[in-house]
Amino acid sequence: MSRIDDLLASTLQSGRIPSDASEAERAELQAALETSTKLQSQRALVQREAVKSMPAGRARFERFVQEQKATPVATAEPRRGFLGRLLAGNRLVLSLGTAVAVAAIAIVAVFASQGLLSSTDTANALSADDYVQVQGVVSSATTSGDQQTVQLSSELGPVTVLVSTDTSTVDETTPNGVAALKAGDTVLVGGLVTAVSPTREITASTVAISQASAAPPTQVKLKVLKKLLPNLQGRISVLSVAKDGESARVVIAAASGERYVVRVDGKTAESLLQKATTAIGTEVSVGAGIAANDGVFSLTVVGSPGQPGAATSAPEAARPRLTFAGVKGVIVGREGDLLRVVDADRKVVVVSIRSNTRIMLGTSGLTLADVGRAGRGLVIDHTVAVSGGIDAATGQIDADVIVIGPKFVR
Amino acid sequence: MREPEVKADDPAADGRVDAERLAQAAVRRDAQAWGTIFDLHYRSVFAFIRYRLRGAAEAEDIAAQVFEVAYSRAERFDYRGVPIEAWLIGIARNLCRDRIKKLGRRGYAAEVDEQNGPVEQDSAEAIDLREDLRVAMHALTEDQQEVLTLRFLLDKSVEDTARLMNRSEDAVKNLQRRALAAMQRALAEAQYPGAEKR
Repeated sequence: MSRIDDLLASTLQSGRIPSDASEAERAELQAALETSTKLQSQRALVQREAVKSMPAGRARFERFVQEQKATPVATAEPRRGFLGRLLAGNRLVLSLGTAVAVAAIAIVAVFASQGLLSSTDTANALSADDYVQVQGVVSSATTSGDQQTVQLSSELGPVTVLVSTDTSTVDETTPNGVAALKAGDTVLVGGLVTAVSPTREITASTVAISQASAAPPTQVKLKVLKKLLPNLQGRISVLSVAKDGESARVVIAAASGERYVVRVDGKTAESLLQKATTAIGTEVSVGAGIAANDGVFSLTVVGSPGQPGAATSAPEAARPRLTFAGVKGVIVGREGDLLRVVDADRKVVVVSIRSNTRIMLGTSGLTLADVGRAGRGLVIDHTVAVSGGIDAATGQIDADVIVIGPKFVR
Repeated sequence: MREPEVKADDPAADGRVDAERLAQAAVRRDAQAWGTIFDLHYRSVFAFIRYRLRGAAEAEDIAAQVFEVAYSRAERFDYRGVPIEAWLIGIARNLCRDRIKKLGRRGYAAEVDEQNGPVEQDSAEAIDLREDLRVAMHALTEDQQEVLTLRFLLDKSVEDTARLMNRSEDAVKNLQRRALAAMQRALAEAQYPGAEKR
């Protein structure tokens, strides 16, 4: 190793140029030290970017792992047992066996059809990488560094919610405050599903909090709605939107006490989020979807969002109604990840697009590439509805969901 | 059967997680182990990639791919003597090469600026410096980029850098000196384009 390499290693480690360096060496070491300082000055920024992108990356990876698990793996034919070897050469016995098997399948099918007639099935309402809104009561909270791990009792059962300094907070008592969550708080969580097995985990992007006491929701068995049930009406207790924004699911609490997982298309989800910053608590009736028998339904809002309706039970009506921050208006400017939106009162509101913001474009005529940085001017003059939290320092809205509509016609 | 060797300097071995068990579970494609690996190493992988590509969004995409590739090839991972981080960095290196090669064919430079919007909370000076560093980084060789990233963005020691780059410590010391000098020249060129040609 050359002397200058050694001197530089020592300089970088101590931050000081060794006293035995010559003038020429000193000049080279000084320049190298300055350059290394410039690089080091970017370390915090890169870490910030990494932390910011982590929930989206984690959700994507989780989804990938699930897909890999779902892929069937080719397996070798299992070694035949004693009975198999005995029957292997006897065609008559095999034929009889086949007939018995067919009969058994037919009997099972008759029983299974009873289940189809009831149009329901048990199910999980969440998939990894979904954007989800869910309300619940905090059962416990632990803090480690700048991250809080919260156990939430919800209608889905226990859910782990990760809250960090990147999470925006909408506090009922101090609207711009960042409060540490504690057991008994009622919270509305918006965020990405980062795990579904063995525990459900949401990395929260926004949390709305109420200190008002409320009984934890009871976990109810969920059923997937496969065929339209007449007069099905209820209150939305969970909303989840797929990564591409083209499909969504809601859990509907019917007046009968049943909970249905209802698949809807992206436009229905957009419509819900255009009406209010959260779909939770909205009373809806379930109707047929565009295509018949594909298991995708439409929803019609009945009554004002957030107001208890006919399908709302007494305990549900007593629960705090939490909402997120938001704005509805027209996009008048775009700079990097910031949108400038003029609302109905002609007030300009700044909206920050986060790395995990879900952008829905159903009726805009735009593509995600148009909304990306390269197409920054294309969103201007489009109508928009934004849901998210408020950045306490800047007052801007940190977007969870942005629904971009058609161009505003003056 | 040879006992697996666990490197003490693997971040997973600092008492939080048993690196050996984690690696064994990773080979079995245990979902929880992979969640832990992701949480432990995502930031390093992202930082390793960040200045080699066009922006944070692309770094996020490649960083996610690193874990997908690693998971897909889990059964090939030989954890004896190879920390998980080094394995992931190796995959990241290859994916970056592939991406740059593809972008090179499509006109890499033309796409660069479009991908880097301002980060609102940074000062104009910080934004300028970041842009200069990004441009300068692309004037360096791959080895030079890698040593500067590991040493100054990821704060790795010379010893760790040598292990991650599969080189001797002396080679790393020499490479970092040449890389810093090249970066200094490239920064001057980025700040005053064409100055050296006059």
